[in-house]
Amino acid sequence: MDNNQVLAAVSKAFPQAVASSDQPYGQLHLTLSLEGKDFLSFMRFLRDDQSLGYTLLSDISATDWTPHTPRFDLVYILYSVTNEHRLVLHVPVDEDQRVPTVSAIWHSANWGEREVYDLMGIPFDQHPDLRRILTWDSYQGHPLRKDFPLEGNYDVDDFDFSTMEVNSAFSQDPNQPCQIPNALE
Amino acid sequence: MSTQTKTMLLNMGPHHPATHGVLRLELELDGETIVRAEPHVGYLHRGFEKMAEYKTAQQIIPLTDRLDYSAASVNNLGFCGAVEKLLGIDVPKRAQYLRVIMAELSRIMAHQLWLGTHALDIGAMTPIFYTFADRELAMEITEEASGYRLTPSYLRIGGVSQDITPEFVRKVREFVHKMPQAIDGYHQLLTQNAIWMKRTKGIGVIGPDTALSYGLTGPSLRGSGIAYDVRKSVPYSSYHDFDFQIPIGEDGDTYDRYLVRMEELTQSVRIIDQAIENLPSGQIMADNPWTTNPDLDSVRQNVDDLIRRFKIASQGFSIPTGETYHAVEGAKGELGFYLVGNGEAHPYRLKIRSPGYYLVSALPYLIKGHMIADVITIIGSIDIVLGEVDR
Repeated sequence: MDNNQVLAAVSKAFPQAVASSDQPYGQLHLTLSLEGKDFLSFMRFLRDDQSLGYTLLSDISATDWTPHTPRFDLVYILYSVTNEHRLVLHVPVDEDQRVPTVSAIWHSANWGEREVYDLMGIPFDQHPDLRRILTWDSYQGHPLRKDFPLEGNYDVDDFDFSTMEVNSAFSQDPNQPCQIPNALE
Repeated sequence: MSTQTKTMLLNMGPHHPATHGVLRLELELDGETIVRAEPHVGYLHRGFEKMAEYKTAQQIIPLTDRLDYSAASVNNLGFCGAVEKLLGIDVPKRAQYLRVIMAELSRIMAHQLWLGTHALDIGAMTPIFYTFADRELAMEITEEASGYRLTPSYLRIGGVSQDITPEFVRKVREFVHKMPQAIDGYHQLLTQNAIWMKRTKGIGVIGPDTALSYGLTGPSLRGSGIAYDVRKSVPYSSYHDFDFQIPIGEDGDTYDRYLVRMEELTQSVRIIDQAIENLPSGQIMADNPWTTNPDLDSVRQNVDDLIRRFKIASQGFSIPTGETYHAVEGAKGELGFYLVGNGEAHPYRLKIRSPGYYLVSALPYLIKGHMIADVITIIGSIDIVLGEVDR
């Protein structure tokens, strides 16, 4: 399938989904105008439809276009192994707007969305494990936003040597530190 | 007296030699069996994407070497390809072939590094001496071309940094001649080895659908039986000129991933052989006054060229408004550069799709239910480099 056939198939199944489409450098970019459940069923359709079959979510990215509104451009990069076709989806996201997670559709979205949350600060609804991933848990700010400075210092207080407490993924509340188990116990 | 079992929490890494870098794993153990695993990454996060927003395109090329430092030239190729796409530069055929040679050499070097360390992790000490000795041959070729061994930064926007020497051609031919025998040697050490097969067969099994869903690419995906290779599906840099095959596995276990990488070594040698024998003559840099430095002779004689060279070196060149996702087949899988330009000299946004990041995200699935000793096997079998995972 080429770009125009994919565009036709998508527009036929979801006439309201695509706000605009573009084909820069031969690559199909779609800007979506869907929210909530419609967005999820559209994404599920892209994965499950026999003729499309975008079973690989290559990556999730986001661009900060401040001071424009909506501020962020959330980007999903999909690939169909059967069609050998790449599809790039753009979702405009406002500051503090929550986006439904697609991690139930593609496992790779779990870490992809965690990275976007960590570095760009876009929160995802219903995400199973929305913690920071590349920076540490007590990090402040979201480094890839345009208003985040390139250089600077601040104190790190992730590990308290007096209590031997550290943040763990297994503690009930990820924001609460858990005691390191004593090996000799 | 009543007995009760409780699970134990074991912290593995970040400073553990078998995690191939600074990867921390939290393991919940029932006896010696893994009940739950949680990888923690980010210990090598250098803010690469943020840094790239403040640097010109030429300044970013050496940074990309430090992503997957075991296969540096492939990273160069991905980034240069993305920038060239936005600028609309046609790379000369000779430069494309030289890029392919360097990319395949770095893929071989990465696979040799992986094979040696992977076997060492499992307990076979001998292979690493052979792979490292042969890796030295590829290193010398890289040094002959660029002057550097591990992080050559040989590529430039629009071509390569310098033309090759006759000595380079001689060394590559010698390498192509020697490698098939060397690969046979690796096979003799491991492929039918009873201990090796017991340690790797049926360990870390992942089915094709699950592998795709987790975003696995490269040899780890092909081990599960899906023939997705960017070099074939979306050819770049003249890969369609070469005759090579994509090996795939059946069971999706550690042994199949091992076999796939071993066959990739052979196929990469084939590509290098075809590229060096059919190397076209001509320019090594694109004919584009905005991005290509004028040569030194004309700089010495012509003041306009002097100014142009100075401007390209000091200010860089503007990356046009637009966005594109350019993927190449890295040593670990699909390596993508999502580049957004806004007309300034530095990228507005550069997102790197590193294959290793998604390989690590599949670790909890792969490890679950196995023994602690198999954790080491599985980490080795997905072949991660933390420099690219954390960026």
